[in-house]
Amino acid sequence: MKSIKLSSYKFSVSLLNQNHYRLVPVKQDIGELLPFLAQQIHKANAKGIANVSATDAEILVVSDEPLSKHKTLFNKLSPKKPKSKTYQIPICFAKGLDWKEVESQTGLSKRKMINNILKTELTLSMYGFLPGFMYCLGLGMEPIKRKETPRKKVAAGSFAVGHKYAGFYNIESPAGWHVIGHSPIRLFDKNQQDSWIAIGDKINVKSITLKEWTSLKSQNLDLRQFQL
Amino acid sequence: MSYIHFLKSGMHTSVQDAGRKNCAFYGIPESGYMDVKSADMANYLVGNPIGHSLIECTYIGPKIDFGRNFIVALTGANMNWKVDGNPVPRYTSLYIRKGSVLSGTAAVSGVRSYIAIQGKWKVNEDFGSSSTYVNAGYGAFNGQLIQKGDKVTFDKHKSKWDFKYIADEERPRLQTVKYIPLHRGPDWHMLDQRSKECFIKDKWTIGSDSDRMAAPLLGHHITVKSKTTLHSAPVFPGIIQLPNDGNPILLLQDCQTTGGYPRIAYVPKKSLSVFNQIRPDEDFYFYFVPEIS
Repeated sequence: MKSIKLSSYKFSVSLLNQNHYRLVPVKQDIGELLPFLAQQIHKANAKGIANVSATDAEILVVSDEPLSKHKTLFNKLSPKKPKSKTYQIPICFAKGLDWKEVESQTGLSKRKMINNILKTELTLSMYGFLPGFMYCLGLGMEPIKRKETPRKKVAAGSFAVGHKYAGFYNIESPAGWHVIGHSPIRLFDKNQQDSWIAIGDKINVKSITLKEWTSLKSQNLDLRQFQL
Repeated sequence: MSYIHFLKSGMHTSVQDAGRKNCAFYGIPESGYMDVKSADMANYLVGNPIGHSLIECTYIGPKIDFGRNFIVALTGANMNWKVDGNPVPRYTSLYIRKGSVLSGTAAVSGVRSYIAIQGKWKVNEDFGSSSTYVNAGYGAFNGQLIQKGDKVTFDKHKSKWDFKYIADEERPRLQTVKYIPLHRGPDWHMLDQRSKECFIKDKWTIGSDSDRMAAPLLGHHITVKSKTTLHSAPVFPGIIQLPNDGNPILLLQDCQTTGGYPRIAYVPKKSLSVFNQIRPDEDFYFYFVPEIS
């Protein structure tokens, strides 16, 4: 099979590694829709599908059944986002590590940048890279270059900016993006899978002080209390 | 008692199974056995189902005290396994008595050894898998490597002794691995002619800093025709990425789920079992095979 339709969008199909199907949109301008379509495939739990992953460029479907078996599922995927949820995530900007680099790259002051972030609504665009890493769109800034030398380790909960995205590091990991804050709540609790933020959901950032950060951190809260 | 007790941890010893399914969407790697073929043989020999938890040892074997009689099998790298000081064979079912001690040395061939033990293991699972993924703390022992003093407990069961062995000609040949099959990846066309040629003509070795996430490939500086920035795209174990420094990296079981570097080629799934037993001091070659679609 050389092409298949997800919803009404045509994708070219190439087979890698016996059962890895690489789906690339024939028209390039639907990038932001791909993780959303992939999420529906993932959640359908279709027989034979062992894994689905996506970025704004490609979808990868690992399927032990030929892709044509999933045609009905693929065709009925919805391009429209259902009602999204909104979360208000507390972030302590005083915990940022890379403000100097961000200020010099953007030409904006820390205060101005924080104000911008508080005013906008972020949208979860995709997961990827490492467990729970969230790519969010809506920063309303020029894309920002990665760090010249990545940090070897940043804490789970780090809030960072890179390219056109705001991102959340949800496990301790190396970081190539600029860390500008930290959230004291558990955004990707392995035991609360039902509460994870879905693609298309909205995130409002709430600025908190160091004192508030310490207090929230000590309460060891997960996402559920922060859904509006 | 129905447990095994680690008197020595070995070098990088962990519980693994067939890995996590349906998690890549959230950035969660597959993890699981690095040498699926040897792991499947070990589970077969003790009568456990395919995909069952077992112990994966790397370079140096652990020392294990058995709290009751157990049916055990050893496959993969040769770690000079002994029970109470007496050599025991690999690729056969073993009956290990209560109070006996199994011990391994540094691997004399291959890298990874597997210890299968009959019965249902009581180990922590995350997302349906006991596979240890240290970076996020998922799997058995809360995602930590096995430490001296750790115990694995088992559901009470009566051992079923059924002697099995793997015929000599069916065992993996760890010392004669020289050729690894390769498929062209989505971004193969980005390489210049010289790089394409030396990728398959010349010998390669694995960097000594390889781990369960990735193996740096040492041999040739690979260059692209022109530098273009790629969108981040899904990756999987077996993919060979080309970072900007021109030194290719082969992604392995614990690898990230998306990446922005050119995906120049990939090693088919079945051949990763072979690749993951190559030692850093052993040369190997790649050869191309077509993808059947």
